Amino acid sequence: MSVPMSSEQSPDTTELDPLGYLIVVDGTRCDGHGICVLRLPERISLDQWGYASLDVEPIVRRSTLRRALRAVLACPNGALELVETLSPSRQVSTEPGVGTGRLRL
Amino acid sequence: MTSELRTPNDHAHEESTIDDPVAFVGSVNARLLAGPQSASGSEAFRQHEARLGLLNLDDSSPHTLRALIGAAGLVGRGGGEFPLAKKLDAAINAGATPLVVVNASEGEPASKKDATLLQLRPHLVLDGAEVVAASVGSSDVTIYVHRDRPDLVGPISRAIRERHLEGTSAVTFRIIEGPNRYVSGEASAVVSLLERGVALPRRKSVPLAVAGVAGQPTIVSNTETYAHVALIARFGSKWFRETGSVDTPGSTLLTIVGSVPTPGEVLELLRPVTLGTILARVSEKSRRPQAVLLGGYAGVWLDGASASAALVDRHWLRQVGAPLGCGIVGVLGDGLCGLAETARLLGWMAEESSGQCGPCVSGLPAMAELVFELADGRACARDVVALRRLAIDVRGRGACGHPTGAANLLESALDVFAPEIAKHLRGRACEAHGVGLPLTHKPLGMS
Ligand SMILES: Cc1cc2nc3c(=O)[nH]c(=O)nc-3n(C[C@H](O)[C@H](O)[C@H](O)COP(=O)(O)O)c2cc1C
Ligand code: SF4
Ligand code: SF4
Repeated sequence: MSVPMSSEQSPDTTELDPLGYLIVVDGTRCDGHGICVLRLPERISLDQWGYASLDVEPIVRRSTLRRALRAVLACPNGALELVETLSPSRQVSTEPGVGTGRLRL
Repeated sequence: MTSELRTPNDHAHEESTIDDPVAFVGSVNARLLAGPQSASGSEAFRQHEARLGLLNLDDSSPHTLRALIGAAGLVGRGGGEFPLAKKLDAAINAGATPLVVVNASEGEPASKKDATLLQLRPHLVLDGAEVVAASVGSSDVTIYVHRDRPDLVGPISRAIRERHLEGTSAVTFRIIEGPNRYVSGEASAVVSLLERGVALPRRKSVPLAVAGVAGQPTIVSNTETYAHVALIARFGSKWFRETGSVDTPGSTLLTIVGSVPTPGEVLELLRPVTLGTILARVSEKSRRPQAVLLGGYAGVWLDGASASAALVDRHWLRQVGAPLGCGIVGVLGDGLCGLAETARLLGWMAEESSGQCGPCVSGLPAMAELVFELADGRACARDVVALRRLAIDVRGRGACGHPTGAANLLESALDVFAPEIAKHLRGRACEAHGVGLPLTHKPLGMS
């Protein structure tokens, strides 16, 4: 996955549009290397077997998003993904972590 | 093997009246189950049309049909309770012509409602699929069933042939068979089978209705959901809303299994009544069971008193944390051990994992084993804490809802069977014997 970072970095506290992003893990790819947790400890924890368990709260701060992106890039299995979250009225699935699949940064 | 349905579905001995909230196959008050008794077998196309009238979609635009389904407020009957109209709109907005898939896999060993519809009222399901296809401008419908189900493929293919002979089919139907496993009925596994011949769930970063089979918008809905559409298209959304409740309109099919005189019986609930009232219709002895597993093997246990008093309305049940799911009511009679039963079900679920995701592969067998030890009087208080932790660690994890289902089952068992747990912790092995709920194979860890 390649997501270009904006060159003009806005202040870290900037709220992101529209609602934020979710960092999600593809459970079929995560082998529990645990590298991601070093990049984004406040949102990723490792379960009792060492697999990545992710916070389901959307990311709304640019600083968090930047580190989330580092976590995405750090995973050797490409198991992590950032997805744009949707307002409930636009949601077309009851499953958590299902977004538009598009990522605009 | 063709008509394997039990005749107890014919409640001739206990006729439902026209305003009875509970209906059986052929009852006067039935909607989905209206028509001939189950002994008559599969309803022929001509009989179906004579009974319900012609399904004429010529004058309805896709938009009108989607608006009709939206006005009816129909939510999916496969477990997720997602509004069908929202799914259709998402598919339409995705741009390409959507694929329409009838999920007829019914992988829950306890569920019989989809089989009942396909065996007795196949044209209802096919009508509904045709309406959904028309509502999104599609002319192909795929019916997905498990392998080795001649009892389903037989009536479905006969019904498709009949429609061809009558020249009424506006769409092309095809039947696709997938592996006879529980998770192969999960929507992304269905898509994966159609795409690459392997029925494995996968993570969905985009809803399947937007991008499913090879990126094409794919509508995967449950058999019963389509059957409802067939009636909505004929009789309208107002008629549909006469049944059910304001929040979740429409009738709903239930399969009653476990400690009842005729396990596997399918009935149609037209209006919300308490579960106790429904169970009393099946047998007076079942009115107040020891416990009930509601919503399937991924559902939750309710203690007997709560179960009897629970209002069987999808919205109400969701609010109290016991969703009706695919409509399974698993009755645990006196003399059975809820823990032993839970261990069996968890062992089965562990074996049904597709083996792709760590927390599912590690967590489910661990759960099953500990609950088995608990039921066997070999566990200690620390194990109960470990079980709580396991449930938390698998909930919401993995590429599909399977681990969450196991967590529901486990957590509710720990709550509801707390008194039994206390007894078993003092080293008492289970005195209860006998097996309650049906499984497709022997669960993991059981001799
Ligand atoms: C492990 C698992 C197994 C499932 N098995 C079935 C099934 O056998 N039949 C079914 O209709 N839905 C099944 N589902 C639900 C489907 O993923 C999907 O939500 C459903 O077919 C959508 O139909 P509906 O919107 O009409 O409810 C399963 C889900 C999970 C997580
Ligand atoms: S780095 Fe990747 S594989 Fe390792 S734990 Fe994190 S998500 Fe899993
Ligand atoms: S969560 Fe379990 S059943 Fe679902 S895809 Fe992963 S391993 Fe398979």
